[in-house]
Amino acid sequence: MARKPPTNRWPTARQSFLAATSQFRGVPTVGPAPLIAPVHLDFGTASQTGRTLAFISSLRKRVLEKQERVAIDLSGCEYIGPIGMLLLAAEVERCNAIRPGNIWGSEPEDELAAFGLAAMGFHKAIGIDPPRELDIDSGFVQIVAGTADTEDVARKLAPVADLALETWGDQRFANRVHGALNEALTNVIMHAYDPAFPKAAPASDGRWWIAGYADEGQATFLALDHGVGIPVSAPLKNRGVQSYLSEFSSYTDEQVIFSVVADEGRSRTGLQNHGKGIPAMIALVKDLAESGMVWIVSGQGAYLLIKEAAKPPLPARIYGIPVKYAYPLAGTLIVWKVGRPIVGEQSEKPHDA
Amino acid sequence: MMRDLSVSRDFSEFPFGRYPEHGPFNGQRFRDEFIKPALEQDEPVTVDLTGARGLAPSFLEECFGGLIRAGFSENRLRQLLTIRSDNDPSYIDEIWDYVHDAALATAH
Repeated sequence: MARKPPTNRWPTARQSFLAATSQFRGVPTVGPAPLIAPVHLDFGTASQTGRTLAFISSLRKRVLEKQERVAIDLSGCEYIGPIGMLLLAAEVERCNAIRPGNIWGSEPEDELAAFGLAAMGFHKAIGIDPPRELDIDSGFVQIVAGTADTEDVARKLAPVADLALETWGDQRFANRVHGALNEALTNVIMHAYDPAFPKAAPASDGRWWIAGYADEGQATFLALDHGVGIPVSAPLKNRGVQSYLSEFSSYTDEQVIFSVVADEGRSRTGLQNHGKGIPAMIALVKDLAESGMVWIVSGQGAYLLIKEAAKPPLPARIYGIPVKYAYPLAGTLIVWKVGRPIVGEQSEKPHDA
Repeated sequence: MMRDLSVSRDFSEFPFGRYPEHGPFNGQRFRDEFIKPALEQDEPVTVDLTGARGLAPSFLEECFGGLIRAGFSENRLRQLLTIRSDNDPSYIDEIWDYVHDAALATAH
């Protein structure tokens, strides 16, 4: 007999996802149309990244444009990474804010994938109780969301500093990490959600999300916004980027992102209205950390800057890779991996990188 | 008489942002309500960053580079202003760079 869809008992804005878990498993035969998540829900290979972006894009289109009720089926997920969780949590929140009560979900059957969701605070981020209680008191910054104008942003980022201090035991380095993330969120407020730009999407005003985790002496932080994106904002607001792009008759999203990264080396960006978040992250990896990575994804482009640790007698190596994606990311995602602080290194001026 | 200001004690342990639209503990506010009135007394002022968490470039630039835009000369600031940062002295050079850059920008 066909199972009836669960009754919607979560009328507030951030509610319905996974609340129906106890009422159905897997894909319901009646009720919300199923949306099956990829087996690997995260960035990774080109095809894994493409499937993840397509899945998130499909959720948004079906709920907001086609006005469907959607059941997200995570039961077949074998891996859900931090990026996948963050993108999904943010998209569910956005959809629920605009059309409450139209998303349902099922937990992954894979134990590790289910553990990862709970550990990263996915359920809490979308406003529901986690299906399991985990005894996790270190190693994670669970998904934190906020807006600029009504909340104490820096205080909300304190867990980032705590994770950094816990990982490296270096107060000065932890403060620099915290400061760079603060700067990135300042940029989100100043540039991604600049009122001069058309709204990137409804109900996304000023909203940002962060998360983080530590592993083997490295900490990785993720920052996401649903703003207009770097390929839109940077050519309009950043003079260094404008100068670089003026050499081309047309340019791609990844070229714009690259020009933002390159601009860090060309100018002293403490100046007003000149984004300093990404440069601060890059400078910290270049100057103060043994190794690291800054991965900036926006629109259909990305730029990956990697610092490989020195392997004496070989020095540390820094290189960048532009990437083009088949599906766009609505907003900007920054994945920032920071290795151990360089021992004995004096802090250098970030803009001197 | 020397005036001592502490970001964490007098303002916030978690300063954030450049302008008021970025939140209550922004750089413009700390500059206009704390540093600038103290400097206008024409007495030496020490600003202590020790204890403030997550100091970001745009907060610092607006606090100190912004003093140039508020009418102070770089020379005058170097005479009156002392920056203290026990946990991370590298902030001190960074701040003076912001002041210098703002002075250059204003001169042009």
